[in-house]
Amino acid sequence: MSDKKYLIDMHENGVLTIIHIYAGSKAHRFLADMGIHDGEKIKVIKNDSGPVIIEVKGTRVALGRGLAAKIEVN
Amino acid sequence: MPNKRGHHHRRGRPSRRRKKGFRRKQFNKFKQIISHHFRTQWNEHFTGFKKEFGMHFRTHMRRHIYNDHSIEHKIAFLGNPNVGKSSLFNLLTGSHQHIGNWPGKTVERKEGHFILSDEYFSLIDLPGAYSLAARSEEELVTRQFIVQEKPDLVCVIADATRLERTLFVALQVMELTSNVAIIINMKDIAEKEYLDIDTQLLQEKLGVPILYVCAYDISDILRIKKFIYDSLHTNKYHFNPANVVYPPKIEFMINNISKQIEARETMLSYPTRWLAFKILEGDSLVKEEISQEFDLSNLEEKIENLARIEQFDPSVEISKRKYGALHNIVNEVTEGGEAFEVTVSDKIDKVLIHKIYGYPILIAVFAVFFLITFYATSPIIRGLEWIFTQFSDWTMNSLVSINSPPFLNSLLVNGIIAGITAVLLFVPIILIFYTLIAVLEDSGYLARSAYLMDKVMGKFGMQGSAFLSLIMGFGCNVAGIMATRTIRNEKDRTTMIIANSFIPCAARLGVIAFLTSIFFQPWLAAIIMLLLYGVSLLLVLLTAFLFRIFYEHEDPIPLILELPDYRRPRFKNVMNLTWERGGIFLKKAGTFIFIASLFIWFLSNVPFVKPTESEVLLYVQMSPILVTKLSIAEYIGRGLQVVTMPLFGFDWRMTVPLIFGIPAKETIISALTILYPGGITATTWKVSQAISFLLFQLTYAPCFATIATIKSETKSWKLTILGIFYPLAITIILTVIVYHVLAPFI
Repeated sequence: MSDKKYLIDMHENGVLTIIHIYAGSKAHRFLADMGIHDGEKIKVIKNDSGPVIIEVKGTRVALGRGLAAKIEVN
Repeated sequence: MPNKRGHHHRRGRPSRRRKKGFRRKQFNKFKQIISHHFRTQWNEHFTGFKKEFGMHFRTHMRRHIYNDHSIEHKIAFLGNPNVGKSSLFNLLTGSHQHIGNWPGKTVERKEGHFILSDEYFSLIDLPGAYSLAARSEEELVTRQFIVQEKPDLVCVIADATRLERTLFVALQVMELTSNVAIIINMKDIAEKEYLDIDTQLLQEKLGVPILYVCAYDISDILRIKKFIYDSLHTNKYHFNPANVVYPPKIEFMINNISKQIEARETMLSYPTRWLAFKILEGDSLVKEEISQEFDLSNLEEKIENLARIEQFDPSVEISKRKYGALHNIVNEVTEGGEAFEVTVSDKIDKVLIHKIYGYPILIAVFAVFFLITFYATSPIIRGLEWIFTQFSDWTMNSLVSINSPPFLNSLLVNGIIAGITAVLLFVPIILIFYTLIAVLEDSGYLARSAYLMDKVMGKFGMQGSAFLSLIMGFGCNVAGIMATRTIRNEKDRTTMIIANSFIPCAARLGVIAFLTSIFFQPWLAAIIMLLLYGVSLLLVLLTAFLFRIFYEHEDPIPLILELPDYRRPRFKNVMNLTWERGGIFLKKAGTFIFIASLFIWFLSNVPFVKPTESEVLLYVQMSPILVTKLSIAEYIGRGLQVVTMPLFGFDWRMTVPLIFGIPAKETIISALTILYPGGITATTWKVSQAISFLLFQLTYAPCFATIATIKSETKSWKLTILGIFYPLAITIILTVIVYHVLAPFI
């Protein structure tokens, strides 16, 4: 369990693959419609103290930190 | 080309007969122009009616009244946010636009038209969406339109630099109708990034017409018109939308559901396969409608089983498959264009949304915003006020000089002209406000400010998007409520709409400044002012807190905010955005303010004793007996005194201005000066009374324009009534406590 990594702990500029999203079903579906789902490659643009900004399919999306903590990446 | 009579070659004076013919020709031409003009006017006129009578009526009438443009094509425009859809729409339709609301919805319905080869192309801008799920009103309106109004063509606008993402909605539309065409925008940017798109191959893969354009290239606008024309008229394009292949288990389930729907013959206007997908995805609206026809519980059980065995959410899985299919297609048809490159926007963001510098920059940007909105407009407003005062004085004098009855004079000047003035005085502030918002929005900074404030607002249980509304509320609550449109989270949006009444707007700042300067030393006045603002903020936070309890059962949507690339704001976009929003506000709030002004006139003039305010002054000075006969407003004031005196320490002269202040807080000062002809001095009220009055006026009632906006933004009478009585209740409780604590001492 301890080797699971989440988006919220990732460094900026890293390119990652989403493993799983543990968010509620509404948020999960909304993310899926934006192209954010497991298997998708994303890049962390900014991750300091505010929402995490990622690049997915050429678009920058800011995700609340609570949500970023529920996105498992490799 | 010369005609048979050779008119073109005649230089000499035409014979009488010929001249007559010539005149007839001229006349015919004139007639043509006039009738064309008439028709266009008629068109504009009819589109206004459309909202009331529905699309059918207009089409029907137009076809019966005149014959030209008898061919009308209905073209729908659809696309993700930030793909340049609005600019394309504006460039195609030019000034032939009008905005209304979708029947029964808060969502705006924008329509326009262009004419090509004497055919009428009516363009409908469908509200921007990421998908066609029934999650928001926008998405719902969009899919209902496609199915019920059956447009001849649905143009999906995509962004060349983000094809996968922006074609997603196209795949969804293709399940709903086969009349889909795709316009890929941002050719200029793609070319800069050395990105090549094989549109021919993409067209084959997707099975629908595709055009590759740049919205700012004028010749491309003509290409789009021709493309739409050709899609409808020629065999140049084929409509055979590609189907996404889903895993066998999903296909099996879809077939299963489809069979059941077909057997029941329900919701026939929707494609069966699409309905089956929606049921599988758990779309609440489709399920609700279908479950009226037959019991869905056995299907639901099967779907649940499938989801459990496969360990997926069918809705997510289906979106994933669509994106998967698009990913493969896009990879095949594009060349170049690196993924995950550092863009110019990223570099700008390094500074603008830096965790430290970001905040001073944000404060500076909004300080400038405020200064412009509320100080640059004040000379314009004062100018307008002066003009209207002159005009109403002139009207009054002219009316008096022709001996028109005083009742009529007062109605015209103090009722109607004053009402129109109240509406028009709102115009500059609203227009400048929306222009600045549009500049911030079009440049991409607006989304960044929400990003920056998320950390701060999060401490109070709200998302960053609520910040803008809070800021705007300090200027004008109407603007603050309108700003809640950027909030996606339902709870936060409702919270900010209701809580906005607690934020003291510029008008209330005027009352605070006026009274504190009379009753307190300057240093104490400043402290009292800050305290009052503090109380407002506390009430907003209290509301946020209460609403959090109220909405607790809901599954909140966390912050998911798209940050568009920075770009230079386009003048045309800014103007269009301003006009769209400002126009709607002025139409709605304008009517409301006008009617409210007439109502107040009625209250303060019936029974009709006082023709002008200056005469009221005289009456007050002359005899208290006359005063009692003044108006309904005063009767109410004296009646309320029985309650307001023991509760808040207000006598009737303090109560009446507050009644006048209900529609617009600006009125409070003028009412006070009328009722206290000698002027208010530090001894007129006790200090406890003054503080009680200041506190009460701060939050007791949203102005009429605000109420109108709450209604139009929430589309709910319940929330509107809550918006009126909740602040009143809180204010009464707070003022009673403060007054009774202070009264024994000061």
